[in-house]
Amino acid sequence: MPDWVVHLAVAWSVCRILSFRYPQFNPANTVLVMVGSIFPDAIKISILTELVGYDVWDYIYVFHLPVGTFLLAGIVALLFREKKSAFLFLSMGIITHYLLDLLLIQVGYGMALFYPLSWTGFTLNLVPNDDYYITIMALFIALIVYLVSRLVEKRKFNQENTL
Amino acid sequence: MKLNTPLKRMVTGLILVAALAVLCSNYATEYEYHQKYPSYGALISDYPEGEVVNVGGTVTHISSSQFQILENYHGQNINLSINSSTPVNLEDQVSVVGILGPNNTIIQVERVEVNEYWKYLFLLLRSFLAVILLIFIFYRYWSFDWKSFEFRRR
Repeated sequence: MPDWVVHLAVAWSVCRILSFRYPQFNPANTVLVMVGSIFPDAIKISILTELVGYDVWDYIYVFHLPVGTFLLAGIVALLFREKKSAFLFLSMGIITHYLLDLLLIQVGYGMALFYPLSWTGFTLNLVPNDDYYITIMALFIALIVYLVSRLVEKRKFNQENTL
Repeated sequence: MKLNTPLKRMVTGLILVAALAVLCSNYATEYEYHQKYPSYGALISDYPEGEVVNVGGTVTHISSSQFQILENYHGQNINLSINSSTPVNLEDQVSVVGILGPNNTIIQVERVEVNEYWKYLFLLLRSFLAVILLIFIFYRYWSFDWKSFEFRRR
């Protein structure tokens, strides 16, 4: 996986850009997209179980496949008052996660994105698993998005005041 | 269907959990048959000597032309020797595609990827910090109502 900093920064940046046009991408919904963006890594529970000697990786690997992650999002969305919108925003985060994970170098096989319909693995084999340059890049992009959005908001505020 | 009562939500949740469990079980039993290369399951059951396999694990021993990796496969520790001069350090995570020889040895490496241990720890650390920040932000915009057992916008 690219680390969670990358997933969260990309999810936030995408929502911030979309918020210029779509008011639905308010801070609360953006947080949901950010939560969704690390959902597939629920599989990392296996790191904790490995510490106590249990290898559950293969048993919960479905968490890191779209079908499993969307089911997980469905379960979590039940805990929200606005279930449908919670599910949609979580799902958007999940999609950003898989798009980023597609970049990873996978020696054996890629992700079976269409499991259980197909076992074909997909990967672009571009970025090593533990690369931190992508983290720096994602944070830099998020900073640029933040600064630009502040500037746009300031201009909007000034325009409204002069009118 | 409107999921406005706790019972309906619980039933829906149980159905989704059951579907997830079925998929997890199916994946765990089937995935090895659909991999591009055989892995540890095949190594244990019929040892495909001479075939290209895909294995991975933690580096436990290094010599000049070989290193050893250890993998906990479903509770069973498996040691493999990799004939390769790829620079590795102890505790690094290695993933290898190569030809399986006798005595749990990969005699010819076709592809290898090394994830350095310190980079892995650094990745865990920054991910941990990121999730702490996310929890903080989440509770700034959402609160949990215990009466209705659901998250609401603040």
